Amino acid sequence: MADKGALGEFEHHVLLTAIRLGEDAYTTSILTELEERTGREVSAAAVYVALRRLERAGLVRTRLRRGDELGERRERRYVRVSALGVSMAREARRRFVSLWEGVPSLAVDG
Amino acid sequence: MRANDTSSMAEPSRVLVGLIRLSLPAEDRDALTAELTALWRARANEISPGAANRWLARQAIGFGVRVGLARLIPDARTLESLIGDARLSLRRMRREPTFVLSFVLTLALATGTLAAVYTAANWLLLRPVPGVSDESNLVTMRLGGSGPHMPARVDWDISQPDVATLRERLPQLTELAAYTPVDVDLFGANGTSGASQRVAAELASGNLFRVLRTAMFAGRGFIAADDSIGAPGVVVLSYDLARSLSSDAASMVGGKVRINGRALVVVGVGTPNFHGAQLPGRAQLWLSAGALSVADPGAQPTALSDGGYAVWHRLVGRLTPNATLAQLSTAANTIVDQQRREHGHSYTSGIQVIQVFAGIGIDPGVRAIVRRTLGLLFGAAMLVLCLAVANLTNLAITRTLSAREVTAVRLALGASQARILRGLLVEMLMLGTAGGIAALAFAELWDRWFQRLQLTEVGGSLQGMHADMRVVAFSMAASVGAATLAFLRPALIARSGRIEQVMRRTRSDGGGATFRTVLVGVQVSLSVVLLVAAMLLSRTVANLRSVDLGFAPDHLLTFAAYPQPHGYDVARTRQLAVDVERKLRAMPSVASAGLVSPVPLESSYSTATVARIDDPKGTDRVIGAGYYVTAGFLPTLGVRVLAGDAAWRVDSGTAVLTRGMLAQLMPGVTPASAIGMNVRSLNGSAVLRIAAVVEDVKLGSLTDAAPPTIFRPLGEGATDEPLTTFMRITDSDSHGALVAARAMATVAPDVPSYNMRSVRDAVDLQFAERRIMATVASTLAALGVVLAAIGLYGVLANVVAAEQREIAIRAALGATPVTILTRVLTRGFVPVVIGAAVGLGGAVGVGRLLASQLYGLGALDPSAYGVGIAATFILALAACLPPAYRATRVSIVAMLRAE
Repeated sequence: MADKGALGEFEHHVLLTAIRLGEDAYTTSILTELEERTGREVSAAAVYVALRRLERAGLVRTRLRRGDELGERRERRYVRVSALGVSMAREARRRFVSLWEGVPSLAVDG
Repeated sequence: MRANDTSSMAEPSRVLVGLIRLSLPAEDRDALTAELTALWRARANEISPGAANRWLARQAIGFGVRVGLARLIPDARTLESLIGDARLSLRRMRREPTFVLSFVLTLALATGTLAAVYTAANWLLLRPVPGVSDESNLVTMRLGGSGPHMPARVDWDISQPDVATLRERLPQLTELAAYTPVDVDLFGANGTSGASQRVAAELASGNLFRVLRTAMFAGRGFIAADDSIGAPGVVVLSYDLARSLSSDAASMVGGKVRINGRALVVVGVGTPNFHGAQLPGRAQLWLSAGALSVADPGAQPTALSDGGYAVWHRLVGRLTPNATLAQLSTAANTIVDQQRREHGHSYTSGIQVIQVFAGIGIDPGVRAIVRRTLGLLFGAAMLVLCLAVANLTNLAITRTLSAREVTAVRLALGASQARILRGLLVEMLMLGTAGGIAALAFAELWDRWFQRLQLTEVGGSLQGMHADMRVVAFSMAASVGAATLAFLRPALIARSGRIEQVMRRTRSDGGGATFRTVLVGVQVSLSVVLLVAAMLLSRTVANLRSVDLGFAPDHLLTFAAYPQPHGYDVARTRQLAVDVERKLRAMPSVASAGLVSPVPLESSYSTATVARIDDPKGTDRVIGAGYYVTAGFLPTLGVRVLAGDAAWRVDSGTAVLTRGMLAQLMPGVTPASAIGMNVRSLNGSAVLRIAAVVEDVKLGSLTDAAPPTIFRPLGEGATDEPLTTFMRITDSDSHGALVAARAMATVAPDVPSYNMRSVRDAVDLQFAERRIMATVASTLAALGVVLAAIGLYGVLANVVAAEQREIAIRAALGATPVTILTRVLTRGFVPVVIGAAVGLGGAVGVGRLLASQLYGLGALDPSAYGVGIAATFILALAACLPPAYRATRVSIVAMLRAE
């Protein structure tokens, strides 16, 4: 039976990247980081939609403020992962690790 | 380094950034576009601005699709899964370009035709009137006829005092405004002479703009004071006209324009697109009631206070919240009855009643004709869409069957039926959307042709017609709807795919062959209906074009001029006519010329009443048509002269009668013996000597019998009507307008000429709606029968491919090529014969529906049905022959070798 609270694969990637970037997480920094990590082009719209959805689920919070680089007038929507978001990521990791434990030979190969 | 410098100067495409901004909610627009622009710069520096723009284009598409879909489908996984399905479908479609192209083109042809008819309906009937606010409680009123045989287009004008009475005594209306369409000659800005033009105008009551709740671009609209007796006439210009006269439209306010020879002050400029209360809007300027004598040179200064002088053609009112149209109609006609008993005024005849129509828009007189014409065209376009859907179903079934093994494997591996169906649904949506977009392009081609048309003799012009958002929405909905229908049967086939069935029977059709054969039968029956309708209408048009007019319309051109508003009295008008005639005759490309008044070649005509000289009371009077003409008119027409002076000198006190007039007036008198006899005209009680008798001529209605007609010298009447010049030219008519303009410029530079056209076109306009229906129905019938033939070919080709082994065995067992050919042809013709029989039944029904539109043939005309059936069978044979021939070439040896 499907777990309604579980994260989709891409949302999971976005959440992890936001945790990794910490204070510096916003749509295009997450996009750049994801592209570097996965080696594939990522759609900015996909990141944007995933962030909106994570925000609605209470896993991240966003706030408009001026960035250091853009400085002057422009604002960015910065992302901060909520406590619920961190615990969801932890839970997801636990599930993955538990699954990997069943396949030691592949784990070694990896 | 240089590249870096260049790219740091460059900016991302504004269009792409704009598209992204459009997709985003307002709170994220600035922040996210700033982020993306920064990223674009980084990419432009690293790679190139071109590559960065391509990346930005992909992002723009992504935002358009994903953000839009995310609003519709909040669930992330469903959305991602749908996007995955779309990607899969795109990959599949890329591998099947022939299928995609055939599907989208067929869909576009049929939906585009339907969208084009819808565009016309939207233009004339459905769209809101541009520039008018809150149309919901507006009503149109007019003085029309009450009898059952009264033509819808016949109506009368109402005097200003009678409008004032209605305004005062109708509690159902909050306000009542009036206007009258009128064509005027307009000279350049600020009263300068310059080029003149004939423009459509409206005489409008002071409250018209207020009742319509029309805003002004500059200046003011009319006010109540503009209606008062003695108020100076003022003008409001449409935005387009103001722009054509000055680059700064607002600067026209306060200036003057010269209309019908009089300089009038411009008080306002309307908003762009506002062209009056009617659809399609024609008015380019509005004249206040004070300018009545400019619009109508015959009007006396007291006309606005004269209850017997009819001024207003249309009334527009706003209903109070609780009033109904029925209450308004009853109340208005109670007032009319009362007024008629008291003083008559506008209501001189017992058959006149106030007719009330909901809303504003197309003239009520032509609304029914336009509705019927467009309704029939819409029906025909729907039939073509049904034919197309049948073909699309065939295409989709063939494709589903070919992909059945893959589907069965997917089902066997655990994919749910819902997942398979959702894939098909996504594919159908994508194809439907592509078809809708292509349909809009195809509809644009149709629209270009439609724009040259006028749906009726007196209105329903499609000039300037264009698609709007309603048309786009309609086209997309029709296309996606048609694609959905086409995918219903394939969805059932895909759902039923079982791996064991597929493994057992590699060439199973899932019941598709029978279904497709039935579809071909339906297609043939629809084609027969369309073909017969097209034949009936085409023959009607041919019959109408071959009606004997009593003169040869080819190489005859006409144009109009209206001298009276420019200060021409009877004597000057007569002289102008003589001068124009002489000037034109002197031109090398003009064989002969003549002038006539009132306007001929319309289905209505001015009546003339004539009696014998020995019948002073006019007991045996003849009521027929009467025209005032110059000497060159009848010779230019080429009317056959039966007796008398062929080169009639048009002396005062003489007349020319037609054979019909002579026969009714003086039965038994031959044309030769009538010459020199006198008759009495009861229009002015003049005694007229018969100078000539000519053959009957149809200068009025084409379909009615030629009326008894009398021709009298121009100048003895009708000088307050426009003059129509006829000229017979020697070669092509390409320089006709130039010739006419040159002649008029020499003789009367202050009187503009207008309405230049060939007599053939003028006559054809009388059956405009039938001509349009015939052309569109013929095109649709051709399209329909070709679609049916393609469907038939597809089915038979599949049958031959599927039964190759059986055919090869038959051939090996001794079946001759003729036997095989006959067998395949018979198989193809079974649905054709059944479909044609059913179609004939439908065609009889449609023929009855068209009966009122037919001329010179009945609804059961055997030749129309014969040609319809013959054309169907010929095309069916052409569609069946290639697969049948292929069947005769099947060889058992080649087959065994291949296996």
